[in-house]
Amino acid sequence: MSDKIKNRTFDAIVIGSGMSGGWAAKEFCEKGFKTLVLERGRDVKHGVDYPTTYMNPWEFEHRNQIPAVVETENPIVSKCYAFREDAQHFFVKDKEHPYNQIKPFDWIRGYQVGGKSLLWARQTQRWSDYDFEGPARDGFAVDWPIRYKDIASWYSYVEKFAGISGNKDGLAVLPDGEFLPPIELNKVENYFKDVVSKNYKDRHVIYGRCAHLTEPKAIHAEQGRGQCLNRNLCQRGCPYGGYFSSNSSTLPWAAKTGNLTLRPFSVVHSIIYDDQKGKATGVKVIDTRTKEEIDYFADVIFVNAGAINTNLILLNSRSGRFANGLGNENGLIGKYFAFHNYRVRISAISEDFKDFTTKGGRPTSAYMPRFRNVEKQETNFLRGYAAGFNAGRSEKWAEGFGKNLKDQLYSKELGPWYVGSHMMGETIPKETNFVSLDESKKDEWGMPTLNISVDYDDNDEKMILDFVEQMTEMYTKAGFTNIKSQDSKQAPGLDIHEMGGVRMGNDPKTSSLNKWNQLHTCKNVFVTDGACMTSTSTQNPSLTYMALTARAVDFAVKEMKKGGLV
Amino acid sequence: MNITRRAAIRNILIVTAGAAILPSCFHENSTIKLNFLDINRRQEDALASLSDTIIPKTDTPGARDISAHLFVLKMVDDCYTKEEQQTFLNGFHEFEALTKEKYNKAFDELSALQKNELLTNLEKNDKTFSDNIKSFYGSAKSLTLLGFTTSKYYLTEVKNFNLIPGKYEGSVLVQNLASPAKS
Repeated sequence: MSDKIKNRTFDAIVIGSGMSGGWAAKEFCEKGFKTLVLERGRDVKHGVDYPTTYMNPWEFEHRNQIPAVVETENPIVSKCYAFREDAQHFFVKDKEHPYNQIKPFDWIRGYQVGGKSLLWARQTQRWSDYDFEGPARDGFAVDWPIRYKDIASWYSYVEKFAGISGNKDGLAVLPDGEFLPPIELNKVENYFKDVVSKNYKDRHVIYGRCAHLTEPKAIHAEQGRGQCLNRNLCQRGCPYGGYFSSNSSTLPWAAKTGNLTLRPFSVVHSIIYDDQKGKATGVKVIDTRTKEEIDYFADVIFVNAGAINTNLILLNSRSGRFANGLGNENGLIGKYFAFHNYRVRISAISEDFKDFTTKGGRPTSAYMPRFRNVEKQETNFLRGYAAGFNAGRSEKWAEGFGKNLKDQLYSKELGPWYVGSHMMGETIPKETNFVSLDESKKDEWGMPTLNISVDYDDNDEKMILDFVEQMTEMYTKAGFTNIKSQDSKQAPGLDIHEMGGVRMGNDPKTSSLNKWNQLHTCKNVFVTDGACMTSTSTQNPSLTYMALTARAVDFAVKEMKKGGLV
Repeated sequence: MNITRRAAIRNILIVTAGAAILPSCFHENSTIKLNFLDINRRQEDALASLSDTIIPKTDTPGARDISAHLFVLKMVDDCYTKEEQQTFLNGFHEFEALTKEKYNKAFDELSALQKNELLTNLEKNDKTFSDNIKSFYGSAKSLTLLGFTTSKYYLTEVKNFNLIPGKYEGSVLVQNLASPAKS
């Protein structure tokens, strides 16, 4: 490492290489900016560093179960559905990166190049104005400084590149996108779709929209990505690039320009603010291997560390002007933190369609967009929920022992169709839900640890009851039997949709970022990951982060060409 | 660990009390490396026989042929908590003591009829069996099934497993699925 400042100076610095950081890198590099991407974890090269991707089930020593010792040492990450033998190497182990749970919060992290874009559930829906107008209409948080028209073309822009499978459903509540062919629904899902549309004019069951290449276009071939082959083993890393990740898509694209410098093993300590110049000049990095402190410099900085760590970095970036953290003169950073309510599932049995079954894997399911409180307030809780819906059959459970049991294992007799739905509820950001720093407890790299104090509220509880009631009604109308709902009571965090703390808004007194995701009070620093979210709505958030990121880079570059970010 | 080992030794002594000469296999360790469980070759044979009674060899392979019993031990050793391991071991020892008491033989030495009788009663969840024995049998059976149904043999030769399906089909007629393999 040369200590010449010139060698540590770039046009742009992007903190984080995950979903949104990858997009920032791609956009800056394409526009000719020498870009440094800092990643706190190790490198994960597409195709090369997916050690389990071709393994058959019998090649896993524990058939994909996690050993008890690992579970005991890592009780938080062990709760995550994808933390299995085949993908455990992409997850942060609890004891390596402790944080302080003021209230129970399951923080699931992926510290590596690509971040959680390797592990995400890949469901992608656009927001509509019903979502952007939510806080203003219903009187919570602050008004979003943007509307659908501000982001629509950016959704199209990122969708075409990432490759989104879906069907044009023509629903105002869930705007259509640039879709590759949808992944089909099965017999029972199609039946349920019909039952719902016959009984409710405002409820819709649609094909899940997801970041999978069902029919790759030239732009995807150019990225070296191929068709999704329905293995449903995405969390191992896809050797074909069948789904979108930073590793398979944006980062190699950025690298091809020759403008990308990727630096793994780099924890960002803080953003350096120059009081004289009145702007940020760079970032202070700690090399995770040597613990060496190194400063890097750039004209513009994008913070894409993942919602919670983005809050941490800003809060830890203190200067003469910003004694409580960069852009935090109003004391808001860390507050109004929110998540998605994923606590409840409802299952049932269908005794019909016994002549049919399914073949192959599928990376999505059916989806029900929000139907509660869409046009106006109509329930005893604010906002609403979307729902996943899926049906399938499995072989009958084998019973007994001996020849009789073995005969059952060799027969292909199927059980009835099971159906299941999970709730994806909007939560209301509140000042009392926050993340903050604990200066008294430092981590291995001397960074303050995070306090996380986030909880459900009465609105969430009422929404859960309504979801169960409404789904039960729809299941009953469909003739499903054995209807059972289950509230996992899981802590916030396990939804892996943490959002907020550095929210967007029109007023610098009540928000941290403007409509371009630019810190109101430090114009060359942008936040375009989950931390920027003013409210949560019900959609899976990654697609919106991608669109906001591409839009913000475009703005930043245009401003810089005009004379600078001031 | 010491407690486990001591308990295991104590139980073996109870089971074998009165035996003038211990067969050499009592001193032999199991054929796979175990980190926590103390299992000797004798017990491994009994477990192999139990697994093979649950999924017997017919004109196709049984549990023992794919070493399902070793998979059972591996899983209990690695994926069970200390408490679960202790329950498994206690149940195993009680199970050995029971066959000894009832038939004066180890499980793998029983006739097919005797094995069948014992498992039939276990499947009935008979009140005469202790909770430890029921728990041991439940673990041995479910892990035998898991090992068998995720084995290369089963997935490739019985189930036409395909790691790369290529596509998803939502409305397949059941009658068009490949015809069942013969057990």
